[in-house]
Amino acid sequence: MRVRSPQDLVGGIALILLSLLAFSQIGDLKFGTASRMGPGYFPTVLAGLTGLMGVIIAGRSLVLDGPALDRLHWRQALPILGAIMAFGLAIRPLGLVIASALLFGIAAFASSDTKWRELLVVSAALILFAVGLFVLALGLPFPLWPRF
Amino acid sequence: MDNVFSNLAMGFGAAATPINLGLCFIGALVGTLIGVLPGLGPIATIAILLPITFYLDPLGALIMLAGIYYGAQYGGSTTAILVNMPGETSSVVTTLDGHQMARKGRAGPALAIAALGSFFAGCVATFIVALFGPVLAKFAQNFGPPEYFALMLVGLIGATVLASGSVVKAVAMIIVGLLLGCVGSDIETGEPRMTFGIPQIAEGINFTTLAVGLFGVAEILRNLEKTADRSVLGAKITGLMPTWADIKQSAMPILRGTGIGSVLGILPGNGAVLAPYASYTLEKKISKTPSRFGKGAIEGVAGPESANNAGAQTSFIPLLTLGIPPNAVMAMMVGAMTIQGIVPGPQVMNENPTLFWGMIASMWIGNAMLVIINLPLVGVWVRLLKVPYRILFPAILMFCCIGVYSINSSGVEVMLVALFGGVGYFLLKHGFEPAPLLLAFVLGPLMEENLRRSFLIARGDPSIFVTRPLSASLLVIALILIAIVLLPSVRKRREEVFHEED
Repeated sequence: MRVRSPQDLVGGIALILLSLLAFSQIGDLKFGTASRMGPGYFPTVLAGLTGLMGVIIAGRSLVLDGPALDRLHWRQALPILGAIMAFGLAIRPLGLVIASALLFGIAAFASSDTKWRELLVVSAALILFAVGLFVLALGLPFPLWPRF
Repeated sequence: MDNVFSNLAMGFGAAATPINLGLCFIGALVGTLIGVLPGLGPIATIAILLPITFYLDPLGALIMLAGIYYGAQYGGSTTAILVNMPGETSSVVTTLDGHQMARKGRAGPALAIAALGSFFAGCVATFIVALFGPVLAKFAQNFGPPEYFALMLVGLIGATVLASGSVVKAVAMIIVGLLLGCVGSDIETGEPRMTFGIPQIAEGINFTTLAVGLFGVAEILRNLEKTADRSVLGAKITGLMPTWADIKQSAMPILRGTGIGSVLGILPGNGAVLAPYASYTLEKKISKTPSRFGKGAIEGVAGPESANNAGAQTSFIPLLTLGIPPNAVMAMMVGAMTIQGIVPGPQVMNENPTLFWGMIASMWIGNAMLVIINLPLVGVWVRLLKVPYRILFPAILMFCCIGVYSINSSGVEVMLVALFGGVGYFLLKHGFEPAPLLLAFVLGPLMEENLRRSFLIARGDPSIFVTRPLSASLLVIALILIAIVLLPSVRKRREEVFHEED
């Protein structure tokens, strides 16, 4: 047996895992009957269908030819996703200014042609713009600085 | 007919206040901007700006967001013509002949015909929305839960048929979208479902969080992989005005493109993406000199560019009259309406006529603004294309984070954006389209509600769906759509159509 479409195989397996994850969360939600559907009815049916689609797509990968796996660019993906996480973690305790600075600093590692001096200027300008637009003009209740 | 005009007059009254005119202008401007920039699409932009609209009044918010969508159709053609790179997926075909025209020193006429064709199409499509909207809304008032369920089923199946890429994978995306839509408290009992004990998603996954992650962040990741250098055609654009011969050659393609776009826009699936392909194929087929296509035929710019704008505009019809979004951008508009406390559906027109007609009127105003934004100011947009991506992406990223944080002042939701961004990247890398997922995510809770209600009415008898004539005919349409996809000849044709996209 030979995998003809690696993308489909991985995609199908991911769907099966998602389906299992959903089933583990549905737990003992009431399924009910067709005339009186319980809260578990729709999720159970859909989680089942997700798993079924996963099996179909993964199975298909052994029969139909498809594209090879595309390389995941971790060097780009990790800094971007990490930067967002950092912003989410920092915004409450540290405020908008520091959270944004963290965001820019970490995200910069994603780009291969970062010029650090340029980054500093661009970051400062963007932070000023954000404070002006969101806090001063729109009046959103954002903490600007760390609260001690 | 009289009614349409008096209603439109009321709409213009509502849309022409200084604030709404300003918002319309901002929307058109932002739309052009993101249209010009490859790799930033209307779905991501609207998702990022969605939280801000909370602070506007409903009409102003919708006017601005709508402007972004059709504005992007204008802007996309500029990049297609000058850089040979589609600014938007809806302007992919414009690269074929538009860029060839530019190479021959006729960038000016190409840009002008694209903008004027779009303007004409926009005016006609606006009128179509005004004309057919009320009729359809009246019709929809007879809909009960079974009809709504059947209609949404047709919408979702249609979205897979008219989507690009693998049908099986599109179906899988729809099911995953429906599944994600189940997360949150149950509509009847209020029990938490699949919430992983995270309080931030106890009321369901936030629509904006999902959309920003799947589209905004995933698009940044994809763009960072490509170290594309954009060689903007350096020569100054001279002579914007098309010649009389250009106009004569373009008139019929514009008319036909408008027709095709208007019809495909109403159907489920992304009309603004599909219509230009259909228009280009048609023009090439009926042309006396098909060999000119691909070498700078002005018909190949005029038809598709009119079609994408017409399609963008008529796709508002199902949303405004039935409350059912036909594509992911309209799903975003549902999100915007929900934020404002408006339930999309046929009742909007009666309960909130200024909103309905004001929005339609604003489309006409916005189209007029766009001609000015795009033609005399084209030099500004060209310069914008020279801004390197390493400066753009931090700005986009910041808007994503601040936007999502501002909805509920919740840092956890920002972190969820990172999660969905990773998911979106995974989907892109494995040939899955995220647009059907988002559409299904919006329709999911509505479908569940209507399905449960239908069964309550029928006391659990599923025949209710086939004994009511309207729902039965809708289900027949759904079956026909499935049959069409499975037909081998159509499958082959479909692959050909979408193959050119790559």
